[in-house]
Amino acid sequence: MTRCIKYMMLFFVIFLLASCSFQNENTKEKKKLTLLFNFSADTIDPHMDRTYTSIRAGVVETLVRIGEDLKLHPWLAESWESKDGRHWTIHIRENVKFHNGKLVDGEAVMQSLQRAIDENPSVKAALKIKKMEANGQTLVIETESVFPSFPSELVHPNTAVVDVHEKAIDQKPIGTGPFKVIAFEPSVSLKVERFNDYWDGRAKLDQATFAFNEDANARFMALKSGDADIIFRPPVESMEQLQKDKHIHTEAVPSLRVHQITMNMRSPFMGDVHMRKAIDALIDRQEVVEHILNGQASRATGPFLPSFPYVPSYPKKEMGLDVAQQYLLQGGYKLKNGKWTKGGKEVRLKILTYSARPELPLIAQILQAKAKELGIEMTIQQVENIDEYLGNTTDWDIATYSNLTAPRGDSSYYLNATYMKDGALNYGHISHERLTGIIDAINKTIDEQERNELTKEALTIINNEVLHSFIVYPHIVVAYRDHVKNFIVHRSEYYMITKDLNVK
Amino acid sequence: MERIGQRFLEFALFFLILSFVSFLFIQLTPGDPVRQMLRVDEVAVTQEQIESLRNELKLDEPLHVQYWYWLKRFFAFDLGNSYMTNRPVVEELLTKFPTTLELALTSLLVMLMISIPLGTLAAVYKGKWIDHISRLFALIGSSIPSFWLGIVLIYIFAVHLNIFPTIGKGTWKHLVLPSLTLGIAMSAVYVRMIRSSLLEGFQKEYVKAARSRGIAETRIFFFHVFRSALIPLITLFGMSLGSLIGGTVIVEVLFSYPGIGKLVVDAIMRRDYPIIQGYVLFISLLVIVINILIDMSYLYLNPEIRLKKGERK
Repeated sequence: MTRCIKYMMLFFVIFLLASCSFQNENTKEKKKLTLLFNFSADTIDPHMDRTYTSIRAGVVETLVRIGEDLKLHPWLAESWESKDGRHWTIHIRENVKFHNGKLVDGEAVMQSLQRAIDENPSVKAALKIKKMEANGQTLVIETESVFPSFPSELVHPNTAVVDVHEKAIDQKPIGTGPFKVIAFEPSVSLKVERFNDYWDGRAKLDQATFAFNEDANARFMALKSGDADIIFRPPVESMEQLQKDKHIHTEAVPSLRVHQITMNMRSPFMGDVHMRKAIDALIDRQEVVEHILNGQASRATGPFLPSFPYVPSYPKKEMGLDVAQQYLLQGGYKLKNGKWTKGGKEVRLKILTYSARPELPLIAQILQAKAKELGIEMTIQQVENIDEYLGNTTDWDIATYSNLTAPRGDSSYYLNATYMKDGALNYGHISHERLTGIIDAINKTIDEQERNELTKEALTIINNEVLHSFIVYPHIVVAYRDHVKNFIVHRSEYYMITKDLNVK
Repeated sequence: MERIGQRFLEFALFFLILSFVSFLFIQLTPGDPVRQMLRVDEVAVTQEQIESLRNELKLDEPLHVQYWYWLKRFFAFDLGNSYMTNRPVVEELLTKFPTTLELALTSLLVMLMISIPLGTLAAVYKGKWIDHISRLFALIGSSIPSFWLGIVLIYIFAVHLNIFPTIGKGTWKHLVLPSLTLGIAMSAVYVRMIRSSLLEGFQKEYVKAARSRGIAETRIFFFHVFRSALIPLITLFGMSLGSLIGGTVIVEVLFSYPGIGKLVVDAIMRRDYPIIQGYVLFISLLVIVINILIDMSYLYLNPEIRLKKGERK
């Protein structure tokens, strides 16, 4: 009997020890994090996804990346060179593995780029590739014409490198990033786990969830309840509450977007530089920042953030009603019974706006009120599809608009799209001979320093001629819980879940 | 057989008209899918490139020609590919539909769980406090917008009580808050409907006759009054199921529980014509099927209809 009890006690002790060790195993918690983003993705095919989820979640990588310094940095491409701006030699980094263990070489990159071009007309338009040839770790690309900004186009997330031989690229792309896909639920979340063979060192997190919710209040609640660790774009009205919460950090950085006033050069008044200057002088940017965007924006001086190397130091502009009046008088306008006229015709302007960006109609209202004080009648028309209206009609004078100006770091996208005669965003029908000449020169110049100088020259003309009036750079606002470490808000918003991201 | 053939022809004609009208409306709405596809807000494209892609997609053809192309593909059981994801429209719809159906069915369950007991009690105890509560519930329920109700439920059950998750799908817990949001909003209408149908039922001659014969009240209620009250309810149910499936978008966005409603709203924003057209046809087919099923259920629920049919034979 005693023996039996002894055996039982021994068994009990062993069981206890086993339980403890089992418990220890279980309590060794995995490092996990949930990031809640404001745009949802229906696909994570890196070549098709408009929301760039797979690059943001650290699943795939491009050949070139844009750094926090807003300069181009090598990524899967170790280096690149071109003597004529048309024939490019790209050296692919060695010992980079796809998530399936295959090594990345020139051939794999070429096949991936080809798929992106075939599947996505936007990539085809952006890259302008005529021919590609792969040899070992080298990829030789010929563009359709001289294209000095080609490396910056390789930052485009839709050019990310995937193994094209794998099936279900839209559900489980096999990339080269620090994380590989576990599961993707369209418009709900993408779950990823650490890829142990990542070429740039193992990621600090074991797993991460990149979730989507388009409702700002729901994102805020998810952060408060602990369902999310990082949220993008919390509701503006919740900022005060978030800033008071000692467990939550908020961060705001100026984005690569600018809110601007587009001027219609074909309108009877806006073709006149004096009128454009007068309108520009009326916009109180500080009022827009403080009262419309609750401080979540910075005053704009031009289309690009001042930290870009190609932005000139703009002279300080005089603003206000008096200044606007001076411009009008210089332009030969006359003030009769409190209304401005020219050639006997009263100045009446139509301003277009749209609700997709709620702050824009408010900016239009502020401008309307200021114009009334000055003596100009301004009518606001809100349209459903601003691009369609601006592109197809000429019965407007000015329009509130919002542009992503340097999404991949280079200035040529914005300059070509907005100021060249056949540019898809040249809604104002701007045709400035000297500016066109400079943009043409930028398009053919390979030397970076020279390109920067030319861009400065172009931006000076845009500023002097007030071809657009730039109002604010809205901020990217992010809130995250205090256990999140090494989270960087990139101005490009391309890189979010990185190998360095961690939790305490 | 003749009748089945006639019904089939009716449906075919209905589909043809519907597909043409929806095609026309979609094409006439402002917006340009080509600009969306080329992402002119991020990539420097020229007007020439825009025109070239428009030509490639045959979007520069006259409307009737474009419709003819679509119709030809449709008869080959091909609704085309989404402009944005390049995936077949049928695949996109069928992937999202189960989520919406799941949400719709659980919301209906919540609605029935609230409205049947509350509506019944309000009818049985007409003019008493429970009737007043049901009236108040109906008034508040139909006045509250679902996005607000959703936020309140999240605030109570996720932020404060931490019982249910705020986002995502996968477990039954994820379904609770979205179903409650939709179910409560729907039950507001049904509570009053059940109450008035039951009150009407209590006044019927056959109910009075049953009472005079000494039949038990519970039997009268369940086998006579409640059964007859189901007919207008089922009609309303049939009418609202189509809109429920198509109209869950706010809840889908709020709870990251995306289904077919969210899919079509995104498609409208991005001018993804094949998806919109496919959605219109899919939902109309669904509404037709539901209505046929409801017509058939009348035969079972209402002996009057069954008897009339028998007389005709």
